[in-house]
Amino acid sequence: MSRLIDGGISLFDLFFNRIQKRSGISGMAYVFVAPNMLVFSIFVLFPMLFNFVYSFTGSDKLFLHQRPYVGTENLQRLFDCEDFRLPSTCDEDLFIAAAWNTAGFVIAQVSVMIGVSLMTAVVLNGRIRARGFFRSVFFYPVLLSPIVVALIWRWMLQENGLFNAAIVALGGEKLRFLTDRNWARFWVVIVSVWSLMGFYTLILLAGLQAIPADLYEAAAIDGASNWQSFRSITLPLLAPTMLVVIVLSTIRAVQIFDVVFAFTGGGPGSATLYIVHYIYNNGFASPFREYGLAAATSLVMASVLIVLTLIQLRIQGTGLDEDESDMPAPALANLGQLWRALGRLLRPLLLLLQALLDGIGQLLGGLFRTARRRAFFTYGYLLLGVLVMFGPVLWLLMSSFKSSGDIQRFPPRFLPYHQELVPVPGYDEPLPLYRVQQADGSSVELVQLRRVGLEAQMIDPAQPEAGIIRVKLSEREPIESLRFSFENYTRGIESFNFWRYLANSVIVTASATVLTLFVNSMAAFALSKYQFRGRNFIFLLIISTLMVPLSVILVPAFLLITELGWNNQLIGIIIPTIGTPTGVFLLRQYMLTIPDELLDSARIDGASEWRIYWQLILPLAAPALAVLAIFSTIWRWNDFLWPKIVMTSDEMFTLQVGLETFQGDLTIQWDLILAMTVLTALPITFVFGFLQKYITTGIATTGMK
Amino acid sequence: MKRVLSLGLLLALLLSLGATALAQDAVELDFMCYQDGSECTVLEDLLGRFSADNPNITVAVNVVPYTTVRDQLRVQVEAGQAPDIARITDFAGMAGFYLDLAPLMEDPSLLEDNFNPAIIGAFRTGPDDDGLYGFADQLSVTGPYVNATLFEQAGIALPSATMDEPTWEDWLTALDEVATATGLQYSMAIDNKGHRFAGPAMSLGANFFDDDGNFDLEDDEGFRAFAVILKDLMDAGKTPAETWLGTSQYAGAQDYFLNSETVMYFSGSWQIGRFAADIGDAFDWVVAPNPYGPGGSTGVAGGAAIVGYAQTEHPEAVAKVLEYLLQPEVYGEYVARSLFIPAHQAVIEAGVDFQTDSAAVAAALTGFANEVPKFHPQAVALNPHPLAFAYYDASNTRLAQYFAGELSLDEAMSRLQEQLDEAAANMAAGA
Repeated sequence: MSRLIDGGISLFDLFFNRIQKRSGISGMAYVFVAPNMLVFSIFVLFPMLFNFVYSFTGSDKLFLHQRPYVGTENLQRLFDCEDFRLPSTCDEDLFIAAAWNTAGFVIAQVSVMIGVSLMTAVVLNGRIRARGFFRSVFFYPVLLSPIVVALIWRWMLQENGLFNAAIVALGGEKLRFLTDRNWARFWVVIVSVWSLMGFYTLILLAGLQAIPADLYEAAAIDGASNWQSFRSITLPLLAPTMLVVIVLSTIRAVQIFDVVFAFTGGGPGSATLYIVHYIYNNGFASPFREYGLAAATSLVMASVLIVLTLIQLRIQGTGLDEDESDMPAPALANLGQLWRALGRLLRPLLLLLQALLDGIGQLLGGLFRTARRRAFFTYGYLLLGVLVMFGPVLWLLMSSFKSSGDIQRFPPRFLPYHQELVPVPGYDEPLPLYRVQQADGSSVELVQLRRVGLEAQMIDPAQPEAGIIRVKLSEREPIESLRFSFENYTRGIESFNFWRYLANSVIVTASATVLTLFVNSMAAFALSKYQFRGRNFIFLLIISTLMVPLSVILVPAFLLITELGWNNQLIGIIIPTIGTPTGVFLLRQYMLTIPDELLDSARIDGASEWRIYWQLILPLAAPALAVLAIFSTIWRWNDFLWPKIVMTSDEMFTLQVGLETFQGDLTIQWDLILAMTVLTALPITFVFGFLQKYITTGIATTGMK
Repeated sequence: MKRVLSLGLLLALLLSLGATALAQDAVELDFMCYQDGSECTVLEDLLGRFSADNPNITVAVNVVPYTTVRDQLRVQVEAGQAPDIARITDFAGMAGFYLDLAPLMEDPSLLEDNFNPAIIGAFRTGPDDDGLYGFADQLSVTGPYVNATLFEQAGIALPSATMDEPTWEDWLTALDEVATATGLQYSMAIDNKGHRFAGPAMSLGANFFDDDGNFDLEDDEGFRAFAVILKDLMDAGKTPAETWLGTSQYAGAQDYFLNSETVMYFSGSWQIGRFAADIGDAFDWVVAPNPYGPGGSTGVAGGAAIVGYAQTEHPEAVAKVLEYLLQPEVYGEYVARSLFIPAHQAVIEAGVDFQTDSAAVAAALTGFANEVPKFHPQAVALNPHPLAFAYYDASNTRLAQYFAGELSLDEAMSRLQEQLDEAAANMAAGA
């Protein structure tokens, strides 16, 4: 087998050496960058351009040549407003409402996210036991797909869910968590923070660990309080990482879609309708078929996102050599000025905030002066973290063992109970057992034959021949016992082409990840280690699309797949994903840290460029590759929207798409959904269990920026 | 080891790609099917029998979620990726893409003479089009299910048992009393769909359409009347708000009924199979006539249809399959086993021997069948209307906004009308 692989590698050698002979060393850069750019151009750039053209056309037709040119009509419609503050005065009221909702959500979510992640990172950075465990606890929800996250929380927050049960048990009134505008908005923020905070916590943790410990020691010697050293050492030194987190989480928040789509569906009314959801509704899902309007909206959104990404670029300092840049450097400089101007403008506000925080900080610092109190707080926080992060998952797990009736029961019980069934001679099926109160106060155990009106016809299982006993419904009570029933699982697997979906998911995840690593690393190698014309242009192109969500280019991307004949083929969901800009970006940043001298000496030793890539760069970039491999696995495993659109044949569904079949047109089959959700989340949990060390250390070493 | 793994995966990938390229000599038709109950399962069985008689034609029944049929099929069809056959609910939505069966069928009258002209017309592109494109494989009827055991417990008689024409008011009073007496929170629940909403609205006097058949809802008193009734119920906590406000997509409220949490559940005949299976012995349930109002008493017609697509490479085989399913005895067996009301005239006349030993199911089917002659013309015209699904979508959003207190009723109604007018204009621009 290994000989076969060596043979394969030699083939690659032969192939690339041939090319290198023709193109020379510098020409190899284009060869390395080509596969990624090909996929990227076809599946990202081209649909984006297509979308651009779409936004200037009208009618309900899908194909461009059938659509009349309407100029800027669509854009005008979006912004036709008497008063932008009031969506109801606007032509496209839902767009304006979605824009405001998105703005509000971004502000709320990012502030909560930063606050919680920072606090968690600081606690995790302290001297604590079992840090690896706690780190994993906070990270775990990142692994879950948006659909799973939405289902878990919907399940707990529904009118008869866990939360309301707790409130009722405490003597309160049920709250309308999902049907009240403000509650719904609140929970959307909480749920999205819950599901993503682990990621940002790890980034911040890496930043914290990079701060030299002797600074704190020196501060302690100088008699600085905890708060003082936090404010004067931690915060300033963490600032670059903080900015990365702020920008990343902002961009992600702007694109929020899947989780809310499955969680509130944008409701109640339009309270949690966000911009991508609006685009999806108009462009794909709604019978109105307003593709032009959807395209125009995505144009507006893409502009906002590109500005945000460029700001991030600016802040991060990507190592773009501006003197050699073939992109307009002045534009970037202007952006920098803008940023500084913004800083000046916000300065008074920040000072006020600082003063406020100082006050709170002193207060808290006083509270946690002793090590004992600190430990108390630290472990209290961590245990709360375990409860909040794992509780919902545990609740899901428990509920998946319950019978369909028990799942709907209010108030719910934590452990699964099942009614006792007793086989009775003369009856084919076992009958349900009840305890029946008798007139004299004693009770007997009877099985029920059937119910008629307000009475039950029961018999004594010990002597069925004694005949039917009539019992009032109010006088009987089911006898139950604790039992973990796998019935939901077996039934789910039967009615749910489980093994087929699993196989599809595994094939897609594995092959997409392998291909992503290969294609991205070649491109990153070229972009980090070669000087060639167009290098910065390509890099900027990749960066600026870093954050364009798929949902925005859905229609053109789908048409493309159709033209290629890739509908209902696994290749249709594998190939388009492998040119990920994020992967290229991540790997390039890491490869920049590999000294050029290594390459030069390898060249002197006569190594071909391909050899350098394969035997020098790849091994050296292993930590970054590991991180990308893990994230690619998570992404592909959890992909929902794209597979759903490409696959219309049951045979070709992935697990995530299959899960949706239980949320059918008529009913939500919670019993099966819960069990299948657990099964869908299980493989990725195992992968995480084995690799969690690499994830956390990998993110720390690469910065995963 | 890692290398071995990745190579193995690549191989697996290549194999999976190659497998799809295999060609076959015999005709295999792709049938995209969704089901509410057991429809696709029964169809698969019937088509298996068909293939036994026609060994060169096999039909692969591909069961998909309803959302696939509703959201993706049209785009797929427009992009030239239609299945050969599909079971759909938006009849008019894909007009122009269907396969004309008229020249291909041995006996086109089997289709033409047995279905309501409104249904046959819905598949056509306009008045000049006289093709035969598909047939309704079931007729669905909307109406109320009532938990009779709760009425019994409360010691209150069903309004439909004591009155000739009980109104919405009569019903709501009785439901309220029953809910209070039995300690239930909800007196009534209704699916959040403009289709279910339309029946009560029409009974309350809603016309829905102007004389040219265009949606004319803005000042429709009946429509507004039912919206107000629902909002009042919702504000009082007497109907589950989560059905209408918990999601923007279609959500059924049947779980409330299944779990005896509501006295009445307003839905349609397609729930019968599920109720028979899931309620079982737990309580007695009946189908009541649609409550009366100024507009009389009407449910709304609906249903699913089976169509072929013109893109198919095997038009003869598709027509043969559809003609087989149209045979009265085959169609009859299909509805009898899947527990649906037939839309096929010959089958209706012959009568259907529903395959159930449940008295409740038989009574429910009769109950809904009794609603059919009472249909208002607009109740039949709604579902096949070219903008029916646009109306369902927009009314969902706008009514939810009204119920949530985001819009006034006037605002909601004018937005709804505006969206429907825009959709009509958009459709005209594309024509």
